[in-house]
Amino acid sequence: MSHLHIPDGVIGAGWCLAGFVVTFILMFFFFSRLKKGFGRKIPLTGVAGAIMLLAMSVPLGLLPLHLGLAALCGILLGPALGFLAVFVVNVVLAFVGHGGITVVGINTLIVGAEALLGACFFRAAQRKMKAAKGAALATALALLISTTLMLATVGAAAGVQELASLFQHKHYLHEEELEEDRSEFFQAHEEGRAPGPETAMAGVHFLRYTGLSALLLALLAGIALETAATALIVHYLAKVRPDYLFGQESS
Amino acid sequence: MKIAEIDRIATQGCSCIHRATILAKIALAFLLLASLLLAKGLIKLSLIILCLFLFFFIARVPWQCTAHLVLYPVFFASFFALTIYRGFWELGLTILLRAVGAAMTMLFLFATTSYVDLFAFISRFLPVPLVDIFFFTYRSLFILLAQLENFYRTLQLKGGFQLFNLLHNVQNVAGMLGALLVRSFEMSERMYYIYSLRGYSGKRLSSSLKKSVFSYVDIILIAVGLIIFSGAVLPWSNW
Repeated sequence: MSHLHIPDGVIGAGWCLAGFVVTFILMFFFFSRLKKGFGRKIPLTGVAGAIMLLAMSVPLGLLPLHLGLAALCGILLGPALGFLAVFVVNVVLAFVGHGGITVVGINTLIVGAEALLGACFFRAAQRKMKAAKGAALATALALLISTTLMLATVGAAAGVQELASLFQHKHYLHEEELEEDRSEFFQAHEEGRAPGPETAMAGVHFLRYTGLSALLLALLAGIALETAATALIVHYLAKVRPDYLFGQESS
Repeated sequence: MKIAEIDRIATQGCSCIHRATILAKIALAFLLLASLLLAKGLIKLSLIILCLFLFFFIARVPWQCTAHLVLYPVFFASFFALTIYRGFWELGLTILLRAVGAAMTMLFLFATTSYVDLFAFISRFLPVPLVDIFFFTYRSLFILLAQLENFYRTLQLKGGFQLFNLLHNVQNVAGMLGALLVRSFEMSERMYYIYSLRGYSGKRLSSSLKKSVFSYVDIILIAVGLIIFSGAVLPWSNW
């Protein structure tokens, strides 16, 4: 749902590297925390990853939305294995050109947050409500947080001021400022020190163009669909195989 | 996503690039990716993409299998290109070309290298259980894909999928995925029992990288990669 789909060459190398470093630190932490018998769950994790990939290819109608099922993966596998499944899914997607290979780390952190938080919230909610309701609540919260994380990442990579400006309703650059920027760019280009897209994006105000309301509406629609689908799947699983939902001890 | 078709091309392809060693292809892909990210100027980027087209042609990868996959980065890069355009059409086009080039590079690698070799290579750097998850994901993907297609066709035939009724579709797709999950988890249990019989205990499933001697094709691939990289990084005005 919050998969970034940012292609290579848009986000700066520093951000990409930081994404990979944090992802690998988290993965090694999860591996160290997994109990000895977790080998039994490796095929299950692989299969859950495959289900995530397949769910992304199922069309939901005319709207260009698809399910991600990362939160469901967390609910079924637990936070650690859910995060590992998300990493594998992102690498496979990058191999087929769906999202850049250099942003796999950032994508894993954002989508992995859905699996991590989905699992934690579901465990907490499970004690007080039915599985489907708990899954809906956990998924909605996890998606809201991961979407915020996504906006924060894109905003930070494109200039921190940008996100703040969304809420301040600033006006678009004046024509003189635009012309000034253009002349600077062309001067730099002529001198052979033209900025790359990452450098240029550092001062770019791009979210403003999309329109905050349209962006939020699209994101909320995606969150609602994913929440509904996850709750329905969990409801079905609770009826036919409840052991799949509650067997998270080994992770 | 046509992963099955690309996998078939990768394993059954018989071009000289398919026969090259994984190390040479990874080196070439890395150099191409670095060239795309470091190259400044539209001419350089266009030339790198032209080289990629040439590689696809030499590897005899059918363009119709990969063309639609290149459309994903085109779509998302267009979004970024348009939003940061600000009158610099060069900047927008640079973003677009970089994204398309990077996606083509990864597709080229994936369409000319068997996934077994690819995963064996990454097993050198990643923990073994993680590589095993890669194997299981990839292996079950094709089995489940066939089941999903059957489910989806049944859903369409029985009127469970309507183009304009999103809620109705979500409800039915969720049911379909739930049934698929139960089947797939049962399949994963069977997989584990079978692999246990073969001695698997969650420690090593991934195959080791084949030790192969570099052929002239490998040397040519790396040399071409280095030439492209040099051409992309070095300023042309000095020549």
